[in-house]
Amino acid sequence: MNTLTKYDILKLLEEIPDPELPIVSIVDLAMVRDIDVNDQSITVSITPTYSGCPATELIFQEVENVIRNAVGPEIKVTVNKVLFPPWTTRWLTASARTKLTTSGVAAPCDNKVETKIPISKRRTPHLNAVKCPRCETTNTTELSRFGTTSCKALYRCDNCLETFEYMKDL
Amino acid sequence: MTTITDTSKSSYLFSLTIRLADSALIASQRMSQWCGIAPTLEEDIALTNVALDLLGQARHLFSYAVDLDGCRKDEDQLAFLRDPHQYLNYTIAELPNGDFAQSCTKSFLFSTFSQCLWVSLLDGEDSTLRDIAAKSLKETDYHIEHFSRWFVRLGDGTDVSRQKILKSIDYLWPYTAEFFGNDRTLSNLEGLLHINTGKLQADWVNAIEDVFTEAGIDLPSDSDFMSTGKYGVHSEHLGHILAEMQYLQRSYPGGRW
Repeated sequence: MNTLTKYDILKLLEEIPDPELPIVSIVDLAMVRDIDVNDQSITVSITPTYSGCPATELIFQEVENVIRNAVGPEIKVTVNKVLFPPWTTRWLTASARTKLTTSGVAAPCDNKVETKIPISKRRTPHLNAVKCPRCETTNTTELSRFGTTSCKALYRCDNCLETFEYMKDL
Repeated sequence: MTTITDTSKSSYLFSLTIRLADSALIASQRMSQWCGIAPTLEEDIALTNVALDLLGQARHLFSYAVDLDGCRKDEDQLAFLRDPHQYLNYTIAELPNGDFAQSCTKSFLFSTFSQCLWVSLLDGEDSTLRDIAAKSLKETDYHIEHFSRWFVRLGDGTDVSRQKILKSIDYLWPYTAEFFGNDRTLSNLEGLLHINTGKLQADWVNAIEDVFTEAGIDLPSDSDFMSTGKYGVHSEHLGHILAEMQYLQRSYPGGRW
């Protein structure tokens, strides 16, 4: 019989890092949307960040493994993929934001992108909003909207002249 | 989930899901051909990121298609073991990349259309398609922003870049008629999804009009040509894409990573 509570499971999941951003866990990233526990089974609902993120399958496997190791072979463990409501960077916890910044990745600023401005007049969607994780100035420029992973863009700080990654709003 | 009792309705829903999945998959495969040869490193990364998003969307859709089909085939079998006439993607997705301008124009036209389609699916009564649409929409917004910027920059750029964009429009525009024309799948699903192709077309024209104006390019007039990829009748290009994409599964059936 399963003796783990919802809270126990959440604690276990907090130990699973995002494979591409190992500084934050899947709980920090708010990918864990629901945990359903009863005597015979445990069901965890996970929402992917980006549709094509190659880390998604690994995360699903990890979630299953971690719970399986804790409960033993008799309990049914299910990991569900949920798409709705779609994942958004607005769900990131405060601790996730701090961890990201400390590791040199600027946290999303969740500004509404102004789409009414003509394309040629738009500079970056977050002009004077993305903070350099090193010197904290907002004097920064977007270099490329698409970065090394689906969730990141490439920026440059115009004060300290370092480039840094920005976890872009979704 | 909406229960579908009428079998013909259910087969139309399956066709539509496969059409959307195939369009995303083939567009992704085409886009990924830029990997390693895009004009700049940043662009290389951008195009492969977009290809990855499209692949992810295709997987959501294929996985729904597997359910609709009663799990007779799995995702991989659907993607890798069908023949060209069983693919239902819009023809524009399979057209060759051409030069960078042509790829940008194609992706601009296709991603703005996808956005209109996703938005209209949000109002439908099929909850799975609605969820996939809501998820894909946010990613599609990034694609549109990227390709609209290139479309304006090249269209309103040098004489050479402008000529290249104009040439790409001449080539690609006739294939956009397929987005809206003669769609018995969508009209049979009108009760479920409430998609009116006339309105869809108006929404799309509205979405691209401003970007054309900004690029200083006139919106072309309607074309009499109508491609038929969505009914499984493709251009000669699809077979070549599939030959490359399906090679591994055809040579080593059931092979897994």
